[in-house]
Amino acid sequence: MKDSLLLSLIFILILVSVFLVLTTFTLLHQWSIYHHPTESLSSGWIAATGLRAMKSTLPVSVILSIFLLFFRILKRPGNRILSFLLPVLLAAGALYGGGILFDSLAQITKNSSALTPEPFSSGRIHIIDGKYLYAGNVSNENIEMLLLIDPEKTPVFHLSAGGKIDWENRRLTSTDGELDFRDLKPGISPLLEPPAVLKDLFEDINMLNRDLDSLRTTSLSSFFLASLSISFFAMSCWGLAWITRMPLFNSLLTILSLRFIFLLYRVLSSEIISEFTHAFTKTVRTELLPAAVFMILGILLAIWDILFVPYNKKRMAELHG
Amino acid sequence: MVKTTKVLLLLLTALALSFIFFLILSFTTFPEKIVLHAFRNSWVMNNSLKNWIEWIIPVTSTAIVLSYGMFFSPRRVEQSDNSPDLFHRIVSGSLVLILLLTLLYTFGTELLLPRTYRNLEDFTYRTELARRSLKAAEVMRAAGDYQKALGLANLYLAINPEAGDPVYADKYKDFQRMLSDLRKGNPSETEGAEETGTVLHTLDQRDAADYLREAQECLNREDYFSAYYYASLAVKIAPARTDAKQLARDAIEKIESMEPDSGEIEQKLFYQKKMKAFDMLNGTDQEAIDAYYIFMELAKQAPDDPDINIYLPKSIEKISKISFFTQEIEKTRPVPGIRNIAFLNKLSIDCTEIIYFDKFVEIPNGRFVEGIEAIAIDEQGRIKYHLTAPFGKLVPSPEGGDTSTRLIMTSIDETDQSVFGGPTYLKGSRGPDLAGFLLLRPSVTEIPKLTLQTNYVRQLNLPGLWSIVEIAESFGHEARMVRIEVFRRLIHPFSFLIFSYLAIALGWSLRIRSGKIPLLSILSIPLYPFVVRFLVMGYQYLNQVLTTYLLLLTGFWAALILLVVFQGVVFICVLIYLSTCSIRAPNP
Repeated sequence: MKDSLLLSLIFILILVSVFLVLTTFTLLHQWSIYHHPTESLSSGWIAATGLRAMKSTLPVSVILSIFLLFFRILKRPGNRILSFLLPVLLAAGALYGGGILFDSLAQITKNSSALTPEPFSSGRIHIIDGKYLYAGNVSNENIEMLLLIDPEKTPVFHLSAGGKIDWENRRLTSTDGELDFRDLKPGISPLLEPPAVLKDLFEDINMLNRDLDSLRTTSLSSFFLASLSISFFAMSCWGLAWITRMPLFNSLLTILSLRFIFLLYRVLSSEIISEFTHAFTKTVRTELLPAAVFMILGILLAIWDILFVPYNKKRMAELHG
Repeated sequence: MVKTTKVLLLLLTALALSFIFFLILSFTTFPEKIVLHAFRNSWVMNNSLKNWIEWIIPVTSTAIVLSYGMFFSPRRVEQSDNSPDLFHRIVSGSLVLILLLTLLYTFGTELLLPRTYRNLEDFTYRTELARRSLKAAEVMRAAGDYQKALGLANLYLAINPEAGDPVYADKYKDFQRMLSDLRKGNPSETEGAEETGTVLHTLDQRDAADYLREAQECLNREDYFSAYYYASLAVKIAPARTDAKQLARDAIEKIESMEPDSGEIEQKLFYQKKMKAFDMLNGTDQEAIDAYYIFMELAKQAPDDPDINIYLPKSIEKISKISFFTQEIEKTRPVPGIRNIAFLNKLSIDCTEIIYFDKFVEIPNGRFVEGIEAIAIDEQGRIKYHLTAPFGKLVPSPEGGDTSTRLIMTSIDETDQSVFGGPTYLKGSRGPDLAGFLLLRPSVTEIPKLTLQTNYVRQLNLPGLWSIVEIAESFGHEARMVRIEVFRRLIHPFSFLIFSYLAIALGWSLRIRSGKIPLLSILSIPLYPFVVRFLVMGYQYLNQVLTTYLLLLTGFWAALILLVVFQGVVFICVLIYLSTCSIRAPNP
């Protein structure tokens, strides 16, 4: 009982730490991309980006914290039911409450959320999506001269007299017409692209974030259900941490199951699955399909865990080493 | 050193198996749609090596974690020896081994990996070029332009000499027939390709007095043509010198006195042409080129003429400063080189000059560029000139020594005077004296470093990257991107060291205590490298984000110190974790 209550406290500590680390790294990543050698980023930008970073890292922080908690459970398992239910409720509460909180904060900072990315530096050749761009003198709203170097065209140089920059719509208006630079990223971006193996994970996480955002705006009860089912499924994987007497193998399974959660969510949110479900029954709301599947799988895992995976303190402590 | 040999053996086995795995994988997944069959073996070897090096950290860490976690049968070790320093004795040898392996890994990644990236990139480019040439050759043949078709076909064959390109297998035989027909009809096209390696002497920098002395010596030994040539050079350098003019007149008189009788018309014409060529050789750039063709023609008529044998090389020497032979360019076409070079050549209050090259190639004949474009813009944003040129030759600039470069854009044919290439001015001009060349600020060795290819940095080792950092900003490039790449590279050896040590600690902590290796564990072994790679990538990516931030915030050296400090802290944490393992060992 005492161990289980302590477990809740440890979960909160882990969650806060993981959340802070991931948010900081996301913010640093964004800062590096939009950093400009001479102009500092506005406080509005930092607030808006920080808030976005918090919103995007909360779900992954919650799921990761649940998995990190398994190490503590191995050491001091506590009461089986409480050690399971308390983290699930806390995780679901954090997902639900955090989501609503960050949404309301986003409303406050909405007016100052305009990004001021600086893809152009004066007197530099920039690499932008296979093309190159030389910018003359760049000030806040004006570029004196802009030379586009497109190796696919003949001639490769296209000179624009420069013009006025509309940062919000990312357009440059000059006497030569308009240059749309919505797709233009600062040259530094490619170097901060994650490797392929992580890119897939980040895409899966983004999909989960987008879905949760959408659920939050459409129905709070659906959003709560999704938060609960994800937390429940993640916690149901705990048995994998002590399923066999081979700690290495158990660790491997646990890490794979962590990755599997995001992958499964992506698969369940895909259009093919939605259309497939819709073809069978038109009564099920397809946006709730991932939550329903997670809940069902979580229940199945929990039953299997109760029936087949021993919750033996001595055995678990031995596995912990 | 207990068990170190076992760890080493397992490690070597894992590395060997992984290399074989990547070899088989590369062989079975050979992308014949983007790489020619002719490159198959080299591509397989390079791709295997690249993948293997990229996977060394996960494979090594897996081998170590499995050594300590599965294959040590620790219960037997612990039963046989229950002394408190057992753990230290087991790991101490491995710790030293890992330090040595980190050094090897660092050298391996820096020496081999950039080269494999470059080779793989070259295979793809050359394949694309070959197939594009083949298609263009077919179009030209259909249009009846057999000369161009032959040139393009030769380019294809230079890259792909074998018939095993499955993408074009059906067209290959037809194409060979076409080539054969074309060659029969135009034997000259295939001849003389090797003759372009004529040694091009550079003119030595002498003054009028030197030339005058030379002219006098020639006159004394009755070599009147040479005397006239050197005297003319002296007149050109110092027009005020009457002695030079007099010497030239004396030489002319002597030559005229040597002229044949009026009946020998052909001989007279020959001498007239020779005289004309001598005069033109010291004239304008275009006249010097014309003189070369006259000497070439005369050399055919009288191959043993001693004057022609002296002045034909001299004319080549002279025109090599203002033009190059198109035959030289042909040799550069199949070479991948370095692409997409752009730089700020001049930046002043009244002029911004930007240069672009599609491709840079270095061959024994010299350094050449393809797809040249240059633009100069005045302070009002108006174009002063905008030129394009198909090819150019880069030579150290006589004006700026080794620190700058002269780009020659005028090309001529070795034998055919009608074949002539040069820059096209799309807007503005640079005056007749400057039209055919450009003076470039970077040296010939710096130019290839100014590429904008984002993957080029991967093809360089750390010293190569550093050399770019030093020059990038002065030519309008973003040096911070190269600095970020430097940091990314520096993280790799730290990752190797940290993950290998962590693997010992994790392996020991998570070891199988039953003394037996279950079948499930054996079957799951192939999964470990994938999971470890995922973790390694995550760690390296977090480091990359952190170091980029530090680099942009604090500058290079401060960020470097912070990077080393951060890695040191992580390493100490791993060592502390490792030491806690020794406290827990042996297992009761």
